[in-house]
Amino acid sequence: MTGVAVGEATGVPVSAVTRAWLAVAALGAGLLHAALAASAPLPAAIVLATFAAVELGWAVAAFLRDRPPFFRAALVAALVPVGAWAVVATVGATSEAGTILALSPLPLGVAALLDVAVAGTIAVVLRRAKPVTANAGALRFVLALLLSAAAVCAVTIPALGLTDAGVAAVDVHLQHEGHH
Amino acid sequence: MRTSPNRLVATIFGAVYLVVGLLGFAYTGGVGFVATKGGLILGIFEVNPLHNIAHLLIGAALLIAGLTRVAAAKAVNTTVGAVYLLLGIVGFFLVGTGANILALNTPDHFLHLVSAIVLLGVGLGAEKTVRSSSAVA
Repeated sequence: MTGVAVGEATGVPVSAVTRAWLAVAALGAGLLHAALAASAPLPAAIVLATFAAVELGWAVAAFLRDRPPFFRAALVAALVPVGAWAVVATVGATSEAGTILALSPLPLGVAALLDVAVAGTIAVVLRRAKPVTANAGALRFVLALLLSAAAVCAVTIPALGLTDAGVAAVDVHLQHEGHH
Repeated sequence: MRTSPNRLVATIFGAVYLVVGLLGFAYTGGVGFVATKGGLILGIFEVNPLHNIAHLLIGAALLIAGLTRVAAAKAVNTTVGAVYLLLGIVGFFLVGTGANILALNTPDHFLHLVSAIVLLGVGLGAEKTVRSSSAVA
């Protein structure tokens, strides 16, 4: 269970602890991109929803399978949302109609941070490329999962609250309070 | 049990949720059964009596599964994790509405999402070879 998986078609060993961290970070980024897509202008919504679908799908697959899917490709793919954000922000800042700049920058930044964390972790695993502990142990695996989940949720939930979807939820709350 | 992540997580989370469920009743005196504004456990987590009962049932299911078999723990961890993930996401948009029958607040969502990730993580990612007819760990 908590043994070593091999990155698909790479021969690179990936411990269950590392796989859990990668999956949790990708899940956090996917949730943020999904929340941002809900209120983004149509072209940006399609791009953000695509990012979210890929991240959420990859996170579930990383949990389900012994081998993280498309392990080498994921290193580059994780940086695509960061690059896209940088390009659009640069273009938007220099034009009159910077539609994507209307999106909350903090949730985008946190999602980018999580994607960079995924890419960085994959890069370290690929560079290390040496055998890892054959059995991480149940307690170590659970602790790693717990710490990863707490860390990702600690940055994801406040950022979700700053998306338009999150702000709308708070507005509904205030209107509801106002009627009483 | 110490060698099985699923039994370890189910037992620990089950015990914690049972305690939280019982403790919740100390903070929900005078709170309506499905009131959208509840009492605050430790001044942080908002609950109402229905929320307390949900904690008790989930805690009992996890604890019993964790103390019995790996396959049972894995099944309950996955199921409860999926429900918590749904609640963590959907519940976020229910805050302050009449549909918030569990009196959820932001710290609740944090706890539910962390629980969901850990429970789903061990349920889906650990002990993949275990089937429903497998032996006790």
